[in-house]
Amino acid sequence: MRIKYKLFAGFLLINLMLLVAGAMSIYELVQLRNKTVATIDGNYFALNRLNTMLKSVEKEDRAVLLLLLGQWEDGRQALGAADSAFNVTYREARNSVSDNLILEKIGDQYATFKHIWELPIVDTKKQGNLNWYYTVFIPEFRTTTAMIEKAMTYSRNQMHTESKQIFEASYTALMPGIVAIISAILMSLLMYFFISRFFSLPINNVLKGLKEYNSKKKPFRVTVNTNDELKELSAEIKKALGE
Amino acid sequence: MRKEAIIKQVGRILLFNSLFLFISFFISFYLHESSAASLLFSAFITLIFGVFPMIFVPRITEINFREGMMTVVLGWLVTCIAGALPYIMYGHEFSLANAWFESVSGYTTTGSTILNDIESLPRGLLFWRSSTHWIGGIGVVLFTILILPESSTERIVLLNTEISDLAKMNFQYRSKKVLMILAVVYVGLTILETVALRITGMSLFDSINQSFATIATGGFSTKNASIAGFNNPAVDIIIMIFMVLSGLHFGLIFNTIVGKTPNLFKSKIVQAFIAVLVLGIIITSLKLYFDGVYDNLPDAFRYGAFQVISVGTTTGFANADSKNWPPLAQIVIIYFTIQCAMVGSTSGGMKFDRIYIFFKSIKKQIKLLKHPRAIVNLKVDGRMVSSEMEMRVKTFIVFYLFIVLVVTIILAAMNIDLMTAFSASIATIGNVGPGFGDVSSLGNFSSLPDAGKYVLSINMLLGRLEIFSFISLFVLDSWK
Repeated sequence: MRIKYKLFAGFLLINLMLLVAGAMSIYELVQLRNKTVATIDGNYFALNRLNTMLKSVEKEDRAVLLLLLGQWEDGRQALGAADSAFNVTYREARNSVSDNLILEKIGDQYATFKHIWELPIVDTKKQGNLNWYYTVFIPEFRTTTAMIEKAMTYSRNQMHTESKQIFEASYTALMPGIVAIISAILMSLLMYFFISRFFSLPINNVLKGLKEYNSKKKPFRVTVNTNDELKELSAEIKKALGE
Repeated sequence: MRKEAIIKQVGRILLFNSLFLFISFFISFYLHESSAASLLFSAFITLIFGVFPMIFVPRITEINFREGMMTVVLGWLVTCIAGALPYIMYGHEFSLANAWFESVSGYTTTGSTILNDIESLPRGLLFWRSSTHWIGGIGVVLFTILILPESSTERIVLLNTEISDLAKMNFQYRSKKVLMILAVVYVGLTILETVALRITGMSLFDSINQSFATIATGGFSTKNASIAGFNNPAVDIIIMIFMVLSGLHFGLIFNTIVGKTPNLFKSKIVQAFIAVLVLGIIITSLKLYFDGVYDNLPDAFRYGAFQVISVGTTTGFANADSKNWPPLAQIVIIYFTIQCAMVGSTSGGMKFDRIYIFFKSIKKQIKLLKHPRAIVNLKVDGRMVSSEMEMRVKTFIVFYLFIVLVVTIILAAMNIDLMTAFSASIATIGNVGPGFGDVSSLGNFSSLPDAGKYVLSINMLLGRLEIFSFISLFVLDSWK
């Protein structure tokens, strides 16, 4: 192989390795960025929606108290607004919470809870009936809020798990760079060794042989076994000197 | 010493490794696993380091013994570094110390692991883990010079370094043929075991991985509970048969197949090895049965035989946790951990042949005590063992046990309990894998301190390279 091709191949390999390391790091970093954004946005969105759902249910509790006091218009208006807010955020949460089973259970429980306050309260036996409030309404209210809080805990845990995965992904993104730096240093040392052993040394030997031929009239006995231009050069010198 | 000659040979070894890294990458890539990137990059790095010397170093027609020795030792070290790359880059349970330990354990066919949850590893990485066994099993150097041949002189020199004199005692072939024999037997046994395990209903992936680990006498399984994870008596029996075969001299297996002598049926060493193994199985199994560890005799024999064969052939698979077995059964297993399998096989450690020669030497000394003027020859399978070889065997055994003691003391100094320290020491230098205490057959080495893992890694390399080859690397005179 010609010297220029050898050197070209050597540098090409170093560059190829750095290129692959760079490409891999970029790919991993893009993945990491997307994952970070998805984790933060997704979990923040889910927690926000679940919090709105919880507040809506609490508003419904206060609205039912208004109905128990006989304030039909204020109570029903507050219930309608809270129910509407719950339904909108519930639909949004379904798209952001990864475990849909929890959301489905919340939906079913909310339907049961809603059925209790949907029926007339004012001007019925329920108005002012604290016993009904504590024995029928409050247990369902508590079950609904507990389920939403459970979903919030799940989302928080999910966020923690995903942050751990992001940490591991950052390690994966970092490693090609570190390995490439160490490898590049080793390859440079290796290349230095090859260049000094197979290029510098034969040139110095030829030079030394020629100097000794010129000054001391010693025969030119230099052997080059690199199988490239240096071997040809040595052979041509021998030919020229009639060796 | 020509450094370029060594670098070129090491380059070839790396090229061979990169082939398996690319296969592992394709598995990960096909299965969309997270380890694909780390395997691809490791394959690239290994390939580039392998190609580099091919470009610059001219054709080398012959290498001398020292160069051959250095190639083998450096080949193992560089291979272990390359093997650790995918683990380091993958992360999770693999810290730097863990990755190095797992890689050395794989290549030296020790089979000790630091992994708590093997089954959670991506399949590409699991395949790479088993491949390190398979590559290391026959000696990465032998493989490379067989597959990438350049000159017969190189082969012979490297073979002389890789296989101890004892291993060659039974060979009647030229070195070139020895390489072919080793490869044919090795690949043949791997294919046979894969097919046999497939017939039992094991998946192709698991069959290949268990076969790689069995034939290399390694012990890395794809299950957390090793072979116990399959809970299949047929699998146990098949693996037992192939563990025994892999613990025998490959040249004798080949001779038996082609109907030549010496073969497995004629060799006195093989007969002695099998007899000792059978005795160990009987003692262990009966003890397990009479102590009530297992309710019936077939179960006692199933688990007793498997554990004894696994340790006696330095494989290190487990179908039961021997940690809580009766002391006598544990002592038998500790004996087999020290004894190891036969030379000429893929097993590491002390080797049964040395023990055999050692006891024959004792017999000879007793005879000489009776008849001081008598000329008593020590013969193994009809061939005379020279006094020089006899002395080398004795020196090796003493030095081997001395290293076991030193490593035990070093581990004990790290506040590791004595049983764990001692069994980890003999299990790693013997390339067996599991020990007792915290590193029992169904346990792992993750709880050991990082310094302990590095010490045990050196121990594994010492066992694999038969101590003296490894030490030669650090004898500076030889580099001049």
